[in-house]
Amino acid sequence: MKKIVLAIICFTFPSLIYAQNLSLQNVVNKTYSETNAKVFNNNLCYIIPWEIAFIDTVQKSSDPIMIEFFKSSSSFKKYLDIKVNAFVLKIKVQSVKFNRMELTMSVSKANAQNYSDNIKLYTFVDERKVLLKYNTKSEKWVFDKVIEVLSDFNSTKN
Amino acid sequence: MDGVKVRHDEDGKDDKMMVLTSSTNSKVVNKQIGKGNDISNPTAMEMSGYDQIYTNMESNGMKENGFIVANNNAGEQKIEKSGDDLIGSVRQGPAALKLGRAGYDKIQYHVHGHGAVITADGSGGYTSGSASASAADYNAVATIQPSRVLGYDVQGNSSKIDFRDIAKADANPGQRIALSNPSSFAKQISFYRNGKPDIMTVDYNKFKATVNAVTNSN
Repeated sequence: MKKIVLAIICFTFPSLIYAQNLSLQNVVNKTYSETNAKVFNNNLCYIIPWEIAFIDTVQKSSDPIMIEFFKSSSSFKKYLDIKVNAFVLKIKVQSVKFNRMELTMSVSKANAQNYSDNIKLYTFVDERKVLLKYNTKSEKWVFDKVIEVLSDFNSTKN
Repeated sequence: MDGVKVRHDEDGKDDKMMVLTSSTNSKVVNKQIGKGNDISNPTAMEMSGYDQIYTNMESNGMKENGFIVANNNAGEQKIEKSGDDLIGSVRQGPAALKLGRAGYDKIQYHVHGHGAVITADGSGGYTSGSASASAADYNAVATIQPSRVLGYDVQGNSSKIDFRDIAKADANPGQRIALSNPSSFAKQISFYRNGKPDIMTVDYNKFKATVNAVTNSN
């Protein structure tokens, strides 16, 4: 059932957010702390999925975290072969209600040796749920808050 | 961290410390000590506890577990097992509270395991666990000494992942699948502090050998 709901969201999302815009680099820099930025070597890679067309790929060099955008996994692979290691950002839209959108943002580490057409093996780094709100004036989705740093993989709870 | 004596401080105590660096350069050593990147040489009880974390994970579907080491005002040490063995996390708070109520309020460090696990993302990608501290780990409560994660080097041994585990992950995207052959992956220990992830990651067997060497040194 979850898969069906996700598929519906994925297929209908582009039409729902037509003429809307999400500055990914802005959201990322508000989501992660300076410590996180250092862990990511101040650089995240994002492979733009075909089903999400509203991502603003503008880069601002003054931000602590820069995002490298890739149009396909093969172009990312070429980059990774040069860099050897890279931190990859993945986004899942969890829900869209009126002017609220919940995203799960996950960061994992990719290594050139373990990234091929056959297998893409990442190492878990961080996963968190983020709330965005829609600004009707600017027609932009803007960061509101981190809802939860998820501990689904490797973490301690206090 | 290689068991080489790098510094001697005459303070009337015979404590043995390990500096979290592979360098013997005095400038590097002093810098690491200045940053708090050194640990007391673990006792036999602590080392036995580390081994037990691996044993528990391997016999319990890679559920995480760990413990907290604390001291009281008299310098006596107490070890308290962390609560709830959960898949993907371990709860440290109740153990810290229990220690504090018993007068062991100087929390030296946390140690917990990260399982040899993979998840499939449903689009050809897989994510593995590692010995690295996660963001939730290094944003947790500060401790006197660097805390520790015990894990497996899955990324460096990806060819050893059993195809049946991959098939199981593919059939259950998003779910953590415990690898069926954890002994195929090198064990690692990593050290981190609050806000300072991964000070150092070393092979766990090498770490044990170093602890033995330091324990038996004059």
